[in-house]
Amino acid sequence: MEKYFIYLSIILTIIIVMPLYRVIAGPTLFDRILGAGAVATKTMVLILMIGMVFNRLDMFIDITMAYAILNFISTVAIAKYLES
Amino acid sequence: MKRIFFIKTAVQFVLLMVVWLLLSGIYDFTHIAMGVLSSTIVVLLHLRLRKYYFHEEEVKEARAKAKHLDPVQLRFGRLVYYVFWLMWQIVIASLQVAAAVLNPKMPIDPALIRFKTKLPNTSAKVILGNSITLTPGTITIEIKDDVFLVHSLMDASFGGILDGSLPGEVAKLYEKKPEQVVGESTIIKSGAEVF
Amino acid sequence: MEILYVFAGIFVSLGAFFLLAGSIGLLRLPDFYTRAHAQGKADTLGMMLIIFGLFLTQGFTINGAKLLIIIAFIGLTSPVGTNVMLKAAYHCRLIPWFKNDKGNPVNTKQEEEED
Repeated sequence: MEKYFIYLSIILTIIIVMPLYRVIAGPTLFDRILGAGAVATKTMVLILMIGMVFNRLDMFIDITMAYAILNFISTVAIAKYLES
Repeated sequence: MKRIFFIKTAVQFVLLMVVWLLLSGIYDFTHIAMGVLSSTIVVLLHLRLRKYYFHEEEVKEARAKAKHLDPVQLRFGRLVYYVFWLMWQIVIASLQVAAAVLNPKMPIDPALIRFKTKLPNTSAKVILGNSITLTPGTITIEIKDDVFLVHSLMDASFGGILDGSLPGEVAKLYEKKPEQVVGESTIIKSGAEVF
Repeated sequence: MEILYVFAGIFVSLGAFFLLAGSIGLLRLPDFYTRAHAQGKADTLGMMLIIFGLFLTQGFTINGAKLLIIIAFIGLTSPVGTNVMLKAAYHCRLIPWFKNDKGNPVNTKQEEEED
């Protein structure tokens, strides 16, 4: 079972790299922010996967929660700043 | 008026406390005392915000109670049904988006839809906005008073909003038999008409 | 116990598929508004499925409860985040892409904003 999660983490890493193209080459500023948000959401899942691999899920869940809240607040703050 | 405000504050405190107990996972005196302290601080910080933003609605509710009218109330039994219905809609939505994206021809035909709604209060509007974002092919762009502006991905996807099935479900959360919820609507399909 | 792990594996794989679809959508779709569709729907469902799969391996413990809280949090905040971004873009007068609308200045407005 651990092996399965390791393979899945590798696949997830490849999935995470793909939106980086949008961050670098995005035609507008909003595309870049959207790409950064996509990277952040997928990173949350990757953190949980790593917790599963190391059998220390209790520690990594807290990190994930903090990351989720941080991601949401940063998105809202940037959007509010751009709107004004 | 005062009583409703007090009850809502108490409910908020209890909810915060439950979340604290779930997250901490250690049940001795120090940790619970810290939880009580931080919940109190959060409630106090939030008090001013609530007085400023949600005051009007609470006043409205109090007036309806004083006149022995039924205030508009969320029906929790319906909410459970609604959550499961929404889950199913999310699955359909994601399958649609995945199919459209993975199709090499990309059969998308975006459109903007502006429509008017009659919903009882602000939280109903919030629920409808979030549900539109999560259901097949449509995302909310803006809510101004009663007018929603929605971006849809495919032609087939905005039918569920315009015939009133999704807003009807949201209105049923509050009333047993809502009237016609969706008012007039316009469909925009060229860049010149957007603004 | 084993059967739960099998189900967890199925859920996690499905979620990974949806995350992949979201990523590909972010690369392939033509403009910001349509990309937000991919980000706001496929990603949300993918994350929910993966976390639900992990919840199956944990059962009803403290960890499981925390995972359920994360699912609820994502279900509430993900549409709000998408909506806030879209609203900002709309207020910055970013014109959406339409199918039968040739010569649309989709991505030229942004330079004016950055001045």
